[in-house]
Amino acid sequence: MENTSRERRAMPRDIADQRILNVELDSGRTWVEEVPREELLRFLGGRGINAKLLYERVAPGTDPLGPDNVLIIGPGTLTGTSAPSSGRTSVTCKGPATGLYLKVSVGGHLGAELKYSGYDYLVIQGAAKDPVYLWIDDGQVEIRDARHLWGLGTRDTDRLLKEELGDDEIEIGLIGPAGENKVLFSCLIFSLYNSASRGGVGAVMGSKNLKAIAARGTGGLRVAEGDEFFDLAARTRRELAADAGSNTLHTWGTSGSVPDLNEMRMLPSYNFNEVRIDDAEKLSGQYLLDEGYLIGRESCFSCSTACHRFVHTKEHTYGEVRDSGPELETVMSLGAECGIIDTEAIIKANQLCNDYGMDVISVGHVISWAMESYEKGLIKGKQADDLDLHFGNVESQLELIRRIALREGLLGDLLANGTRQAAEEVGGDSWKWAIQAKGLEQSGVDTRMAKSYALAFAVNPRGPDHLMTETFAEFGFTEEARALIEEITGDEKFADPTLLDKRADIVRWHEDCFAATDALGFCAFTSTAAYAVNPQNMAQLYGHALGIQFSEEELMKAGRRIVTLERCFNVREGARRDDDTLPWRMMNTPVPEGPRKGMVTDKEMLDHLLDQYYDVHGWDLGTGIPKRDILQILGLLELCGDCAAE
Amino acid sequence: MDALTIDAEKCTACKACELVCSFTHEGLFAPTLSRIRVVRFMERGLSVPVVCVNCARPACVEVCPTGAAYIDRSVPVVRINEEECIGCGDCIKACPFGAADFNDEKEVAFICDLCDGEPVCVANCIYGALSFEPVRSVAQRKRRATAEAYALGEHVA
Amino acid sequence: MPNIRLRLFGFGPKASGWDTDTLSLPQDTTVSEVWQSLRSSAEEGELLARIDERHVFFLVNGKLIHGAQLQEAVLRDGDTVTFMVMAIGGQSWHPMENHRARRSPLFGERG
Repeated sequence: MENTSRERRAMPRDIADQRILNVELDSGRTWVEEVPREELLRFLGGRGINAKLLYERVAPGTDPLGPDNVLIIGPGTLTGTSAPSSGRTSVTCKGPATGLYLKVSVGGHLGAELKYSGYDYLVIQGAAKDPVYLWIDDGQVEIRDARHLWGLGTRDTDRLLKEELGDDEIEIGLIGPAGENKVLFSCLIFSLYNSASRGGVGAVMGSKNLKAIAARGTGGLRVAEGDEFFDLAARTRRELAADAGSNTLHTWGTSGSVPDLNEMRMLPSYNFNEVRIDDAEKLSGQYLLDEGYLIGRESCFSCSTACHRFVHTKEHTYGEVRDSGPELETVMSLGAECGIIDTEAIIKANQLCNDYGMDVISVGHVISWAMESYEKGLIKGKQADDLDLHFGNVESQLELIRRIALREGLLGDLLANGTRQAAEEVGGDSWKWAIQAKGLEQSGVDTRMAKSYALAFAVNPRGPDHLMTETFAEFGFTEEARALIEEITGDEKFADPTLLDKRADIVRWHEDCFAATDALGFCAFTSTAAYAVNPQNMAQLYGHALGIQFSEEELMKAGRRIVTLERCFNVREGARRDDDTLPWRMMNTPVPEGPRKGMVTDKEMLDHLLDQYYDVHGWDLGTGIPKRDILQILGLLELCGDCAAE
Repeated sequence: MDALTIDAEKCTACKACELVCSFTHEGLFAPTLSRIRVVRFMERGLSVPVVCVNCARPACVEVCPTGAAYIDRSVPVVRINEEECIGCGDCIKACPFGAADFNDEKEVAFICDLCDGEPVCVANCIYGALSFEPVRSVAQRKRRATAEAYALGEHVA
Repeated sequence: MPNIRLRLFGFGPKASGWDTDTLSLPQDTTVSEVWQSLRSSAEEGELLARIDERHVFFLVNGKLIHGAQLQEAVLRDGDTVTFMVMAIGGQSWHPMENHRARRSPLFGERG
């Protein structure tokens, strides 16, 4: 039987033979590089290699929305294997919202497909003159006209591309109108249900006139020690399945924790003015299931947890919707933070964000900021585009989401630049309730009452959220969490989020673990919310994949190396200790009620935490710049020596 | 006779089945070489694993010109002898379920062989979308479910 | 006799359901005692009777308590005690004990 596609077929390859596909959109030139094995061992892969490539290729002062910014897509080194929940991809660039380092994590199936098509990293530079999309067909690369797709929502684009390319099994990453309009919190959608959400990666793609990346691959991946890898992966998959952290995520999704959080007075509501909201269970994953909204659970590649939701509206109050989501952050930011507890409304709001391609955390908080500003009389009349922006107004929220995505009207355009810029323009005290730092809106953890989260958020190179380092264990909710805190600090009593002691140790362990998790392609839920994937078995799986002895210490050290490199990128951009801060409200407005009433993380506490943290890292206390000797120890002196402190 | 049974409602498209299958049979992680494949309906949030249903009178065996495809009565299961397969693709065209596929590199067809009685896909499908049980048990289970629905008045005859 | 407010979440027929009650307790009753009493009065087979304690959040006035604190925490007049089925992590939960998201076509399709 003649196989005309034989020449195009991607060949099976060893997982350690990593290849970078470079694409220059101006010229249409593409070329392939190999990743030297020593580099792979130093930076683990995925997020780690991404960070190194970004550091080398994006000079300080580069315009994030200009052609010299580089967009790097790097699935993890174990992505594409049967290692459980290993299908995550890191997307790295200089971030438009912050002007600083940006790594975003995304699931779905595109990362694996890229690897099967022969590439471990996609490095995109320059900008196309007209809208284009990238088609990676089993190794062959084409840059194709996307003018007919420009302006379309993500769902229509996905469908049309699959029709055009004649294959409904291709995997696609794409932007919606929000990315095209360079909304500073527009996202990159992978495999329809997943999103590289934060910081404006969608806008970077939009600025490059790149609408989509489509891939199809048949080339298999080989690991060095097949049987050992396979058996450990299978065992770990079963252990993960037995972990209830994984199970509750499966049953109720991420929003399953809403009632618990609300009852503990930890659910941010009304733009962090409150810590609970009435009828919060209507926002919960349990409610989605009990009331029949949930019609499916979806996974990322190789993940048995399946935390994603797929819902169908019942009353169709705001239109009939069948779509993925909502997640915990969604129901917090678009729900409680905006004073909305209407399930139909939140499903609709989420669908709009999915289709326009926008980060729900930022969208929700930009609107809740606008609502507070409106109620305080700082935004009114014409400036409010004649919308009634009281908390709880669903119609206004849905309309505003559309206007933001399309940069329509004064308010839509203003909010599309994020709360930092919007507050600057609106003036008055509105900056005080812009729940942001570094230019990025904070995610839904109350950093007044969770001190290692507060520290992690303040030092996060991309801005205050939990997606570079999640120190979930500090809550001590479970035996495993308390055991982990004991392992890190020496005593289980430090599993208390209100303490200031030992926070830096807790943050540093989680930083290292999270970086390694990302680099290998694992989902952070497996290593920091459930614990069946841990530095020990990550190192073992990595070792079996590459056919080497690889220790937990080496893995964590590589994680440290990645975190430090990311820090150096920001130092080079001029970031210093002053930038490691929290939103004003978290530092100044005490928790209004509940067992942690009165708490804040004020300047004195933050300084104390930062001192601890820089000390533990070996960075200069005054500036937060890594010192030469620590760069030496981590083997980063050659790469990053130019920005070292003395 | 034991059969691989699919409960599509529980499938989440994790593709663990595809990964462990291709690895077990080809030593590679390559979903396109997996004997079991998940088909997704993204706009409905529905995923359906599709695999050889182990016909008692399989079309693939009937059409095979060389006898490379044959029934191994010991399991029982359909097998393809790679040395005798000439890569004509007739089995793929004949199978009404799309359960047979083609290995471009080896230039032979492949079909699920139930891993000789302990299917790895089932072992790695955590939430039970795949099960391996006697076909009569499947019938019994479904009869009971139907009867229960009648008994509870949920289904009008 | 201290009066306390008792809140239960997730133990009813719906996972998203609340049950609220006011209890009049003897002096120096601990959280553990309230929990055990509740458990023993539940019907056999009910989630409240059979749930593993490691799957339960114990809260007093919104504050999480666990381990020895359960026996030590003495309840005072006006306290609110909450028992919630845990949805943030926990110990071994039977993986098959989940709920179908979609009803099969025979019995009426949703979506």
